[in-house]
Amino acid sequence: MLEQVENEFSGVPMPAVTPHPSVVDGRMYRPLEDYVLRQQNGDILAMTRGHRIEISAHGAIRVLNKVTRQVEFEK
Amino acid sequence: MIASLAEKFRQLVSTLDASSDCARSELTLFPSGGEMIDVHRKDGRVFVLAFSPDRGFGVDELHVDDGFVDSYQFTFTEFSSAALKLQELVSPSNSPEERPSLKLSLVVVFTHDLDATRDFYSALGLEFQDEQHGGGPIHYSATVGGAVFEIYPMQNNASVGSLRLGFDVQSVDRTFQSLKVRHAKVVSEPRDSPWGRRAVVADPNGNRVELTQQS
Repeated sequence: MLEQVENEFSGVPMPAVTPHPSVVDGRMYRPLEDYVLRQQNGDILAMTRGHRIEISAHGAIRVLNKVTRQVEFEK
Repeated sequence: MIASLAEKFRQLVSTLDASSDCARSELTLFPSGGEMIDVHRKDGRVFVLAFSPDRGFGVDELHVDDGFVDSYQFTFTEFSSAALKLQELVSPSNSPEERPSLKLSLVVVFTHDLDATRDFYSALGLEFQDEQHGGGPIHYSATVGGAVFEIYPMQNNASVGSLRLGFDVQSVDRTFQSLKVRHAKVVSEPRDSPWGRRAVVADPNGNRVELTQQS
């Protein structure tokens, strides 16, 4: 779903190969599958270098900053 | 037995958690083989070590304004190098305000000719006194720049280095562990002594390095 949103709103087409994380091209990419943990109850935990992304089975999403431990995004 | 990568990560977390400067460290293992350690120091600084089967190991300090940057300042292909870098970053010696706590406190020169060596350094202006501790050998001792400078007789069959250095450190146990993971040869484990808490390791040349913590 994130890719569909980015296709529509970022103005940057999805490249054939996901660019290196250090490359900023104006488009957001989903967390690397290497750092995604899918729980049996449907919850998903994804980690990035500086953030912890918690997605519950019923669709709630929360992004926490690892340094401040503050919630940067919640829906 | 060769430890799995996950086991190595667990051991590293245990080592970090044993450090008095580490508030907590969190290990997350992912089914894909990815692994990540977040280390929170008591002073609020945060560090990360991440492993991806495709990208290898990345180590970095996190900052509030990093945003969603996902590259790492330090990258490695081997766990041991990445673990050492993380420990180095997490170490209190990485705090500028704590670096001055390391102070050279002892230099010992071992020689087959005590008198000639004493005369040599006396010519530089050092004023020596005869000393003997317990059943140890008679040696010469002087003070220079706040450090003790000593001349000891070398044993005939000595195979170690001919120099002994001593440092006053903030924490003998912490510095000892830091050197131990770098494969320093342990001469004497940390223990309390009349001179404070003390440990001795050997540098790669065989020179003994004495660590002392003034209580």
